[in-house]
Amino acid sequence: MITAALSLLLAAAAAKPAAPVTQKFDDVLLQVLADEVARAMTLKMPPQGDKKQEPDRPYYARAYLNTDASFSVWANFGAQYAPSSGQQVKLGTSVRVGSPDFDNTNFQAGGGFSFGGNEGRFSTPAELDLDAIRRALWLQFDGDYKKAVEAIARKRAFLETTQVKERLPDFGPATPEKVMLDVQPPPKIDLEKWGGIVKRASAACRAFSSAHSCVAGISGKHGCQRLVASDGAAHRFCETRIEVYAQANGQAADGMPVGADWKQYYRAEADLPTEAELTAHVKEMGELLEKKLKAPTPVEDYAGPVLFTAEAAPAFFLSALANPLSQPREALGASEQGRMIERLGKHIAVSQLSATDDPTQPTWTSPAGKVLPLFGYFPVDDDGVKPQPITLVKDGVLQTYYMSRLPTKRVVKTNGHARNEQGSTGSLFVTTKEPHPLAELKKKLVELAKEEDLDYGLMVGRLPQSWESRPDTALKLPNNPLLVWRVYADGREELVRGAAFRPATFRVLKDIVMMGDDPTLLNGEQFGQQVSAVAPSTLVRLLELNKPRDDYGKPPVLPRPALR
Amino acid sequence: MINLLVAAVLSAAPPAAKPTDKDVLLDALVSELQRNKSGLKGEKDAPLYYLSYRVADGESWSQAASFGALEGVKVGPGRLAGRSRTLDVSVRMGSRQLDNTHRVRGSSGWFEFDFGGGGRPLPVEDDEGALKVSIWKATDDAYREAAKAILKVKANVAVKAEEEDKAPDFSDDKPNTRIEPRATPLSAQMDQAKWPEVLKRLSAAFKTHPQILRSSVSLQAASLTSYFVDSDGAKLREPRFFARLAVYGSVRADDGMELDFFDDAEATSLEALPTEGEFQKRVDRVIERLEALRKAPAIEPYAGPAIITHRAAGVFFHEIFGHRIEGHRQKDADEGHTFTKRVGLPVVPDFISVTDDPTRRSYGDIPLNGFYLFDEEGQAAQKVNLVENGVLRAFLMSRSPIAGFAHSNGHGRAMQGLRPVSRQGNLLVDSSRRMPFKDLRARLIDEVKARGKPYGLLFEEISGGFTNTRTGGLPQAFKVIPQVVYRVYPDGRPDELVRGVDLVGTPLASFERIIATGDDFRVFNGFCGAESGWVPVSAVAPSILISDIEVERKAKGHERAPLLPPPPLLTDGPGKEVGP
Repeated sequence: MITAALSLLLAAAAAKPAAPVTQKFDDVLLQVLADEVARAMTLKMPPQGDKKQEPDRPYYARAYLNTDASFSVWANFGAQYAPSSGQQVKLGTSVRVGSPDFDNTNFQAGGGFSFGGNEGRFSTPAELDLDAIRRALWLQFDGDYKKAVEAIARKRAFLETTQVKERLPDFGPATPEKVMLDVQPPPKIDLEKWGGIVKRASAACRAFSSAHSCVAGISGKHGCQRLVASDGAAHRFCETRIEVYAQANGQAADGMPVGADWKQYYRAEADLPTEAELTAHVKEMGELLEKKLKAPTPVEDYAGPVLFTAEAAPAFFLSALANPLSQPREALGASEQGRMIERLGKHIAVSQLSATDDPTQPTWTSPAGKVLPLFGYFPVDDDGVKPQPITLVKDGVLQTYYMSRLPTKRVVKTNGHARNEQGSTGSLFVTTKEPHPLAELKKKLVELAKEEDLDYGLMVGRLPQSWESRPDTALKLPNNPLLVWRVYADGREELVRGAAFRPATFRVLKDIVMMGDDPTLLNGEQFGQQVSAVAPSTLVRLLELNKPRDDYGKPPVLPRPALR
Repeated sequence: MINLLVAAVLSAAPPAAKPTDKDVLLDALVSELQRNKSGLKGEKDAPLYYLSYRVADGESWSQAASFGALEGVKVGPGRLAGRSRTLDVSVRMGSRQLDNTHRVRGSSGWFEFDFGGGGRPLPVEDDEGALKVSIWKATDDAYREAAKAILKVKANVAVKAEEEDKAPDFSDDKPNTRIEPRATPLSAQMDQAKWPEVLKRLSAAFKTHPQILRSSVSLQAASLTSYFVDSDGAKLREPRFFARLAVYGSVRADDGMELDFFDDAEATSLEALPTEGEFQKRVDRVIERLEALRKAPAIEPYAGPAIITHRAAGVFFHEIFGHRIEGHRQKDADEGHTFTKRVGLPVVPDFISVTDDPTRRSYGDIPLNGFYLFDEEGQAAQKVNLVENGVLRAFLMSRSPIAGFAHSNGHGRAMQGLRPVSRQGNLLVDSSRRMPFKDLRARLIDEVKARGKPYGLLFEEISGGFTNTRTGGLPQAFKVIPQVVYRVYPDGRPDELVRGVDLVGTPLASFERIIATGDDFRVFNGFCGAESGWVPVSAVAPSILISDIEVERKAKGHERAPLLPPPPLLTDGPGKEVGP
């Protein structure tokens, strides 16, 4: 949806603080949050100096309570390392003073004030003790309010001395939602049993003599979130994520560190791989490591077509599409040029490409009929707003971007994608109007390579997790793809190692030549949030990769001790 | 830099065993030590001449409660909860005279200090092959770092002026061999269900004191087996146990000043810790102190006579004397060298003697925190007479020699993951000019009158402090942070509790002004932090009377007290969990 101008709704929403009304809940923890949110709305600085000036008062407050139970068990070459498990409570509080049109947030020039992010300033309870939680909330809100009053004063001072072309309202309207899902207890994972499983599974690659480490592990987190906001929004939901992984690492003769890893996420113990399956993954990683260690490295830089297949395809779109459409609101005093969000209503990709984001779907069914969990699913966003499925790109044209309740110049209303305060990815689905079998994409890859006077084209099968802290104005693909093959005209595929992507521009979406009929799911993380992406294999006309550097540390002097 | 009262890093132990039992970990360490020592040759003109492995293996437990509820992370139950096994590798390349650990001069200070490799986790299971692989990889990584470092050291030595102290980098000391039984697992000694409830009950006492904004009651315990093997032939295994029950609170005075108070009990077994009832009294005392401190008047900067009472005097000596007689500080060109050239000369009044004796297990019936048999370089702990009748005799020595002191005296200490340097163990201050405390107090009043001062000061509790021993922009002064200070009036008025001062000064001048001591020796047990991490220490001292001491105003917070009253309580006691 495109909104060309600021909504008048915002002006209407700006009003004097309403008398606090404490919401009522059956859930005692929600009630504790509601009680302290209501008290926070009464916070008021004592008058100072000029007593005629009314102190800034809260117009919005919210609190959330997360309970996290986590565990981790892992083993290397058949021997277990120290496991861990524990339970933690996180309390987050936020206060907005002033009005939705002008409040204490979205301002950096005065020293980086922001909204939220106030976990853990005071000791927080590790268990759900009502007195301890209320006490922590009381102190956190107190600190938030004092900071907010200071921040809005600095913001006013900044605006008095700085010419700002167009100041946007600070907080957009939203219908307060109440989303109350059942509280699920943490899954009962038998750590003794799984300790044995990872131990035996990791022993499977003791036979691979070149591996320096060979790990099998399982870790998990079960969390429930409760949130109450002063505008009437409230929610409660729980989620579980269990990660099972296998990794093998070594060092090639030229000194390059080489790794092979497999990782999969699950929602329940019943879905976890069997010991035999995990063992097979460990072996597979051991074998892949041996192959990668022997694989050649490029001797010159590469500029030519690149085919992203399997998990590399959704990873590519998380970097090339979801990243630049996230966190669209810039703070007052910060200005970034050349962002993709400025292209609203224009072609940003080839016409065959469309993309949606739908965090309301808990699962995705693969073309083979397998039902897989989507970890980009959330029933309600961080603003307490129900997420909406959104069309980001239709036939190559940018339709909207990820929105929270922070209005932007061209899109004002939230679409329920607030994650870590700003709009960002949930579950991204990239589709094409012109799907082709992978074999045709490979054939095209070789043809395009030939046009560039190359004997082969590069095919990427896996990219590492990219750790972004904020959207970038350049496309920075993770620069060390984990699985790369040279694809030759005769159909031969040769594994290579060490090539690294150079930064590109987002024009790359217009350089897509062909897309596959093989959508693949990737569950991963972006801006610290769990996200999902589904995309088919995608062939890009031109990307550049550097040859590996030539100054790696030497391999170990002594051979690895033998493992029987 | 230094604070005596901070948490320990804990680790721990496998099943208890007789010294003769097969020890897979020890065998793997010895085997890889031999293989790597013979196989790794070092760089051209810089052979690998020394290799050591240090492992802490065992179990630890750490939990805190605040206002009646567990805080931080609630430790998960289970057989392997709190289990750890951590390896430190030391590789020395070059020669004992000049090796890769030599301080690079004229660089960016601490950034060039070799802190050590950070510790590597090892498998917690006795799988010899997997253990050897981990040890091999850690050794190879340490070897690479040493190879880089020796090149840098040689280049630095070549271009810089000749060093004043030409002592070697590593001493030629006798290796020790001793195999003690492994530690009993902590989980076999401790009721993991009981302690969280005890901590919750103890901490609940703070609930009815809303002015106390922060507080906690915590237990840390560890049972670990310490291993040390080196290429000189050392082979050591000994059990270590540590438990600490602590209470902390913080209150904000009306003017915004934050005031802390702390108390703790250390023990060499869980049974030796205070009972819940006994510790409850100490919690109540902390609350009482905090409430009194909050209402106490703040005082202005002052110079005049003062008594520092026993435990506080122990901290005072630890901070301003103990750190300056650590051997490696005499060698480092960037250090202040307060005492470097004063061996054989008076450094404190002639009625004072100081020793450091890590071999001493207890003082009276109080266990000493700084007790150990062998240091982290495998050297036997030794009693060192540092000062005899006011005259400096020796330094605390690790295996880093200094001019005139070629050997270790068993004070090379470090926490896991860091490289050992010379540190204190049990610092014992003795005095031949002792008097009962009431007489010492009378002397204080005489001094106050003689100096025409309105009052003297009595420092009763000190939480810790720090001392700058280095040259450079900052003065080589100390600051000690008192918790409880009284004004003592010469006209017979009762002593008055005050707040808001830090004790400051320079070491030599401060020692010169000690004019008498009490006969009331007490033990201070705590933890000391420096470049080799946190190590357990003790200080034993009598109260001391100083003719002239300076206090400066403590930094005052700017925060207002909370604007709203605290929320109503559901219960005065510990709370109950309400579900997932």
